[in-house]
Amino acid sequence: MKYFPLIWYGLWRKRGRTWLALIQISVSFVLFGVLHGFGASVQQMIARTDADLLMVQSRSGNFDLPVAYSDRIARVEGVTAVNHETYANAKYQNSPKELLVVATLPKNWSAMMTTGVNIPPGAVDALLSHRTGALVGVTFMHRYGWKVGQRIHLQSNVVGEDGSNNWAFDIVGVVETKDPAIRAERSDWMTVNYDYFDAARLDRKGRVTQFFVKIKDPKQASAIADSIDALFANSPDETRTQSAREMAQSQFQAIGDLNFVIRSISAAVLFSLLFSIGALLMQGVRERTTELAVLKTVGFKNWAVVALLSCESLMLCLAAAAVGMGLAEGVLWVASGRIPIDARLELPVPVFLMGIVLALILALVSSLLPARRSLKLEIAAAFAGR
Amino acid sequence: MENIVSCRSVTKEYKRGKESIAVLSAIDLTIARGEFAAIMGPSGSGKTTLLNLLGGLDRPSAGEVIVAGERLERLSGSRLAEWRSRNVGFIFQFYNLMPTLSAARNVEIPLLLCSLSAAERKLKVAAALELVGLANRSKHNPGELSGGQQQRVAIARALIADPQLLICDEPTGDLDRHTAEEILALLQLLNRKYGKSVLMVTHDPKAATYASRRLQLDKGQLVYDEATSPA
Repeated sequence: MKYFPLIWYGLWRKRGRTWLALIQISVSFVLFGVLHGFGASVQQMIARTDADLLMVQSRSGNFDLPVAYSDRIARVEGVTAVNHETYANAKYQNSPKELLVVATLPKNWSAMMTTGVNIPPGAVDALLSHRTGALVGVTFMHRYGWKVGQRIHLQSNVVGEDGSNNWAFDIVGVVETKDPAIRAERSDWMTVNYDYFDAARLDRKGRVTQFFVKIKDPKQASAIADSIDALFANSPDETRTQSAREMAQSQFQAIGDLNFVIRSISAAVLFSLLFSIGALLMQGVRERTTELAVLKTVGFKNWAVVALLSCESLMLCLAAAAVGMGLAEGVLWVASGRIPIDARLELPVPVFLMGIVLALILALVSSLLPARRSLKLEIAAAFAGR
Repeated sequence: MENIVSCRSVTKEYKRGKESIAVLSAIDLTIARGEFAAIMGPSGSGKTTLLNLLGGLDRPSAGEVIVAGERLERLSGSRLAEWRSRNVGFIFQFYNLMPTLSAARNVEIPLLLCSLSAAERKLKVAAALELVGLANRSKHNPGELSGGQQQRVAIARALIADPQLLICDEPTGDLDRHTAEEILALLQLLNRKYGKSVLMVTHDPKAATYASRRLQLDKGQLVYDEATSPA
């Protein structure tokens, strides 16, 4: 501790340069924290995705299947429940933001959503008893200031039987995502009766966007998926069935191997940082030749001078890394719910610890050359300017 | 009287490429404990080199250097550093203070190597600054002090570990006449009142009058050695 003033002095000898180095390292660790935090959150989301849930979509990729498939899927061995969802986009009044309308079978939907959605008691019955009813997510309720019992008029991309895009629903209940971290932003849908929606639309009657299938044994997911797809092979509407977890994984694999991308970017940033911090420390040592010679003159041994220089580097890197990862946590917190990932984005403790270890390595490795230079420094030569 | 410095046949050569340049040639010198010796001579005569050898900052090419009872050329780098911290205080022409540390922090530096508590260090620093007449400037950074005041801080730093020998390389070379005389008087006080042996390199004949002995170097050889009555 008694050496702290000397270390502090060395660190702030050139204030502007130290600030720039702090900013540079912090920004690098912001990037490191955000990338790794994002990656960890994606993995967390994938891990949380129900393993016993299959999703049946059109093989052609047009998100359009006959509703009649429901009964045939339900009869496949190992299947315990089937539901389907059909999606429509809508707008409320002059708001530029779109609303997601999910037309489904309320009872089946509520049975499948128990792990992810808070559905108040009686809400499903209320929806069933109101043909034009809607269970609205809290995000919309807050955004538009809606109240339960209110009739809302929407303009949808789905044309009604009367030829207009106007749709009216009566709010009969409020639903929300169970995860409190993303509840406010990600409870952004409204559930309506498929029967009403299908009857009231002009075309594509009897069609749905996709099916959700609950199975008894997650280990049988692949075999059951094959059985479902086999049922509709060579039909006009062939299916592609995947577990929800596989689907989540494949969505992120579509943008490349996420972990590889994250590791590559982090490694490139930290590697370049190593050189710039090393050069910075080297410059500092070069400028302080006389001062280091004075320390040696008054009795500081070589290792003590090296330790002082290493401590400067450690303080710089650790402080900047802590600030950077703190900012990364802030960025992830702000981004949580604003990007379409159903998981809270956060910096997990192992990533934080990894950042600290990397900062330590960065500090020690970057101070190697300056340390070598200080070891080789000869006092008499330094004072003579040689 | 016991010698604090004893040199026998001390030679120092520097290599420049394949060429060997002799800076000091077979110097024999003894300085008694409590002496104030001024080393004079033209530029390039080897004054600073001799001072560096006597202060354990450099090693002779040949010969033996005994200072404060220790054969310096036999000590390892680490032992030499330890020896310097206990036995020698250095005062430089350009003060060599840490610019962003306060006067007190600068003076404290040699004490960081001792096993003293913060309170003990603070007391010693205050006493050293008091001795050099800068008790009221302890919190000032070097940039806020005049040249003379900075040199006083450097003297306090040299004194703080209570060394037997003060080695001064042109201590007044960067100061005006009046301030230089104040600094020289202070060195004389440290010599006379506190018994510090002082070895001072100077170009200035007036500064040399404060010493009790004058040595003259020329082309790496001791050409003149005389005890005088100091001013």
